[in-house]
Amino acid sequence: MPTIATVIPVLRSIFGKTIWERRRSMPWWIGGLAFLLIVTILSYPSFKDTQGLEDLFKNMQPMLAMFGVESAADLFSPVGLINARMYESIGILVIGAFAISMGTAALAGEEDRGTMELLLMQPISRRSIVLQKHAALTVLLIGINAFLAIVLFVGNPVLDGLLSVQGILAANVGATLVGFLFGSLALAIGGVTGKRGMTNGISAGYLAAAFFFNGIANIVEGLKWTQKLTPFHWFSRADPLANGFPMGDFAVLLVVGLVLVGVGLWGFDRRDVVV
Amino acid sequence: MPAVIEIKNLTKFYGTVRGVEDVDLTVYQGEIFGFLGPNGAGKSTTLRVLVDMLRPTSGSVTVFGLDSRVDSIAIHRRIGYLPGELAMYDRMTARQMLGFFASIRGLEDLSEMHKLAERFDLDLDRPFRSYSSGNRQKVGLVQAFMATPELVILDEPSSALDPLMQQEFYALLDEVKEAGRTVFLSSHVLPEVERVADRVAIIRRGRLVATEHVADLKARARRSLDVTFEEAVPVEQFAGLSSVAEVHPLPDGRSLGFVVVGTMDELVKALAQHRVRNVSSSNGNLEDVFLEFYADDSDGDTGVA
Repeated sequence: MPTIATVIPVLRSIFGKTIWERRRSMPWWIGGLAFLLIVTILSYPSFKDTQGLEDLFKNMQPMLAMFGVESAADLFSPVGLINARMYESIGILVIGAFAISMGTAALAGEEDRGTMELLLMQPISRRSIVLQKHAALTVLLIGINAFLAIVLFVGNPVLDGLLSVQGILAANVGATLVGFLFGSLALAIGGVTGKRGMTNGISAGYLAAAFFFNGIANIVEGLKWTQKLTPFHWFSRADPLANGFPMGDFAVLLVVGLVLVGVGLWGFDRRDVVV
Repeated sequence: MPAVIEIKNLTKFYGTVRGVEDVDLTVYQGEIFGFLGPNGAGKSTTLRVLVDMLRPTSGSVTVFGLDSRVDSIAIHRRIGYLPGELAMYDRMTARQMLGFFASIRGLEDLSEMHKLAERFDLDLDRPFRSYSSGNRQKVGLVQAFMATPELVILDEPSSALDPLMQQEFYALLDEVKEAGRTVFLSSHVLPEVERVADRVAIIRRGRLVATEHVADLKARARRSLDVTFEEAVPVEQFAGLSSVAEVHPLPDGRSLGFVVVGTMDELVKALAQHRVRNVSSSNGNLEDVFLEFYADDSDGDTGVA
């Protein structure tokens, strides 16, 4: 008798299948980020003894501030270098984009493709669909950042061992939380509206705007207040890679993310699903 | 027989757009119930309310005596459903997909799934996107029937199937009925409903216009009859007959075309007074019944499907 045992385990739940669906694209996301990080680490030895460059960059302080660089000297420290490439720059944007793509696909994408109809026919609650898909997103975010943390641990000798264990963990937990927030936002908008284009547009727009304002507020005093509205501010203002866990700031990211998951649950549970 | 589906005063609006209005419907255990109407009349809306994809604006819907909204999970455990526009995961093979759905349903035994796939001559190991529309529909049907559900809800089930597979599908429906299980299917393919259904509800512009036994509908059907005489007979001879809805001369000059509603008796007796060479009739089918109901609405509808 053919039984359910013939079905591969990852396909026996929505959670498992959501992860399984990413099996081809995950290596590219992780590989791309890891590549960026490795190149950054390997560039350190050639940067560290260039006092002349540092003097040059001092004149560009306002521009550097836009990218979250407090002083030119930071650029040439391991922490400054990695922040400028990864955690306050392109790296965190990629993590945010990944989270948004998964958060959008979770509900709005599934509705847009029409596959939500059969999913809803199963003897499983709408809440469970939302939570399983969100759990898959969270697990993959943790996976990405765990991999980046390993790269940092392995690469630390190249950086003269100047990164702390605390710092590495804090930076990657923080980056996970930033992804968690953006993913939850996309999930929430998808849950409330069911519209893929709108979900992607608003989420990605917020990602870009948040990055822009978090940077520009460093040089434009009048925009200082906008920083508080960006996840990047709560992630990086205490420089976790240098200083370890800013518990209060990270809690803000976590709580906002959880509230957004709640909004997604509420929004998806209450409305018609029109495929 | 106990009622399996009870819809009372169901009204569903999408904002201000009409879905269905004031629909009353009861489907009993062991019957095949057809739901007929043109596209946009509200068939899919009704089906989707049944399975809790859509929430009623007003009215009540129960399945197995359970509330469609509150007890949706308990209901879903006992039903199979085929969407009108089947969308599945393009990159998964049918086997992976069906295994996935079986898993989240809690179905342990996959032998029915394999039997159905064999019966419909479906290769399970190709990615869904590579299937023809007929094969996609087969995957959908296997999905709907594989858990041997007590109630199967099918939205336009046979539209993409080739004639041979349609016959197989009808045979499957007969077996399901034989086993005391219930089928609720929507269709605008009239001969199909005529072939499989015991009772039929006809919906138009979101409102039910009739719920009847298929046999009764057939009895009331408009039938077309072409009669060839040995010599020309004037149309006026038959104009007074109350059961003759229409009569017109055919191009050969010796034949008349009749449209008869209900009993043939009157016409046959009138014809007997002439020398008749040939009579040909198209069987009364729901197509004709349909024309009767939609006579003033032949251009369909504008509502939401």
